[in-house]
Amino acid sequence: MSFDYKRNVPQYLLTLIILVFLIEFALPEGPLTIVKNELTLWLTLIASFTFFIAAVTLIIRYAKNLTEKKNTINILYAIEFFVIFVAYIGIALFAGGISGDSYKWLYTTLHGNLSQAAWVLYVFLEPWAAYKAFQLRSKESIILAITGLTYILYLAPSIPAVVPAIGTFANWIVNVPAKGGARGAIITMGVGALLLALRMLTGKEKGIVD
Amino acid sequence: MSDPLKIQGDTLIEKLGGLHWFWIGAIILLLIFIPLLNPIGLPISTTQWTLDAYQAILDAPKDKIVVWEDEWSMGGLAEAETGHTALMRLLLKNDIRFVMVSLTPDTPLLHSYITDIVTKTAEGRGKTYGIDWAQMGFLPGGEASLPFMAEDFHGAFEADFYGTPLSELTIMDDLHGYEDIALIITGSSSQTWIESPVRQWYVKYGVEIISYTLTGGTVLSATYWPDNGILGIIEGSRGGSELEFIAGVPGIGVAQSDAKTLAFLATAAFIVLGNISYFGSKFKRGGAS
Amino acid sequence: MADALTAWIVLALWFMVASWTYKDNPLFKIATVAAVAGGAANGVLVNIDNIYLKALIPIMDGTKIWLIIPIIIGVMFVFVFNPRYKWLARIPTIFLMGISIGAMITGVMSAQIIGQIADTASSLTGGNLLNGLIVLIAVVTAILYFTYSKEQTGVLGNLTTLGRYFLMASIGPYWAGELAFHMSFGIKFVQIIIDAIGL
Repeated sequence: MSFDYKRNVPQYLLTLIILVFLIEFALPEGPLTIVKNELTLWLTLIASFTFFIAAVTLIIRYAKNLTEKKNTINILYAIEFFVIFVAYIGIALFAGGISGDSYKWLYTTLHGNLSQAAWVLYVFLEPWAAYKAFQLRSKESIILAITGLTYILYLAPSIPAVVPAIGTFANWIVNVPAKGGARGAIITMGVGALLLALRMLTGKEKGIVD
Repeated sequence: MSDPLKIQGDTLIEKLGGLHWFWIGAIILLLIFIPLLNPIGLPISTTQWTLDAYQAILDAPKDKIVVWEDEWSMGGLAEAETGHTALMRLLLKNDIRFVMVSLTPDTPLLHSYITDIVTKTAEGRGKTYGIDWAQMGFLPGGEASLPFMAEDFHGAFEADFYGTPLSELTIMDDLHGYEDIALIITGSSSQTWIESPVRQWYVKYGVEIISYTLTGGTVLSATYWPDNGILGIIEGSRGGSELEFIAGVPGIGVAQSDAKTLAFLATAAFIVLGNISYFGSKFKRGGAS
Repeated sequence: MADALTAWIVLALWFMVASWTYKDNPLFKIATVAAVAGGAANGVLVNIDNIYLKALIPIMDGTKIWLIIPIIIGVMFVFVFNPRYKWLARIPTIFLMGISIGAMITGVMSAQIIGQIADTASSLTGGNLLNGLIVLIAVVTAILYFTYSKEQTGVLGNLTTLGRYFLMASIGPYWAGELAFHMSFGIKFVQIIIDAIGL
């Protein structure tokens, strides 16, 4: 079996890191605790770079749009991106930092409202989807409709106050059948996660280091 | 988009099930208008898990600090504002010291926004930042960063969101690791996030948790409530409205509850309408599906 | 005056996004690009702060010079843009994955498996026995539903069908919650209109 450093080095690294955590969990307050704590600090630092790479990817993408001669609208979108991106950075650097009033106003007014507004489309689509899909065609859809409908009425703050039976039934749904179903899913996911980690530990999980 | 004026179906009963999504959304938005302009004042019901959350907060040992770790973002402000303001007002009203921690890059600004609102309320006046509460910045890493906080809180942050070194904040003199934490309030706009703090805070360090989850996240949180790490559940804006009511800190939640009631009733009505159309059409066709 | 102006700006932004309900249009795209630019910029700024406080200062003052190692590992992400050295970008990914999995897996057994089984068992002894039995049946049949190593026919088929029904029962409240979440934005939208118009 040849040593493919491009695949084997990352695999060995992955195995080593997971083993550190597993052994430390079995033998806490030992020397591996220091290693584990240091690794979690490293995680917070390395994770920060994912945001930088995301920004670089976007910058490259919009910079490519700027060079497109035929598509004027894409050039305008690219200019918009860079203007707004630089404006945020500029305000943060020269007008009080990210905790300053100017940046807070800009972020809350612009980004905060735009990212919230995206959800308003669901006000149109989701009730319509339920109107179409919650038809009692099968046993599964009957159960889905009954539990879903009961819970949506329960989530209206006033309805259980006026019709206590809805509150009682919704409580029962959450604490009995739904809890049981969710618990089964949680246990299965837990077992699956353990097995996946074992496969990653032993290098059997293809695609992790590819 | 397809023509909203064209209703699908030949017969009336089929047309009942053929409304365009634009009209359904428009009707719901119109129904929301009415109570926002003229509040009806419908009563608010409370749930056992919100009552448990409220009680757990009140019972938090006063010599320790509550850590409020949060994954809610500005994009979820409409859902989060009610619960966040109610929670912060509740903590300040009862002199419970707390530290806010952000687990997404967006969250520090959400906390800042909420703080600006709460400091103008009766509960917020007279309270001092750095003594009664503190706001940390963003801690990347997700679940894996939680043990970092638990083992070395000062090492995890170094300074607060405003750049003040933690050594200069009085409240941080009493918070170094998990032994100093009374309770974790874990907020997330995800229904499934709750498993992460249970795995880390409760399993490894024995710190109990209040789940401040997205609406609908109660099902998953309830599998750990009340004896498996979660003491109580605050369910999105509904839980926020309840908390306002229970804690006596009325705010936007109480005002919005009428609008929510009408919107949800309308949705339920449309579902029933869809089924009337389905079964009516089915019987008209002689039972063929 | 400033508040009124902000209210109208906010209303305009929401309508730009909501205009998609009519059709995909430049206003919607402008709003999307603005949101993406803001999110990216904020991500960069907040994380620069993080790196500076936790790594650059201790490196520069000599207290934790070894933190140059995670910085170098993080910088290796840039190799994702180079086809020849792309494999080097796996190193920081492996660190993230390994540490995350290591932290998660040590809590899974207790929280998700043993804890849940224990709670299911204790629901038979405390409180309502009938409800406890229903929870037990729901848990077992839901677990069986996810078993794919045997064909789900006969008795197993009936049990997995029952498990599917219990899973549907848990999905109903999830759906209802998602709907309620989205309705909050509808309410906010209406409030923004009311604030701007001054009703």
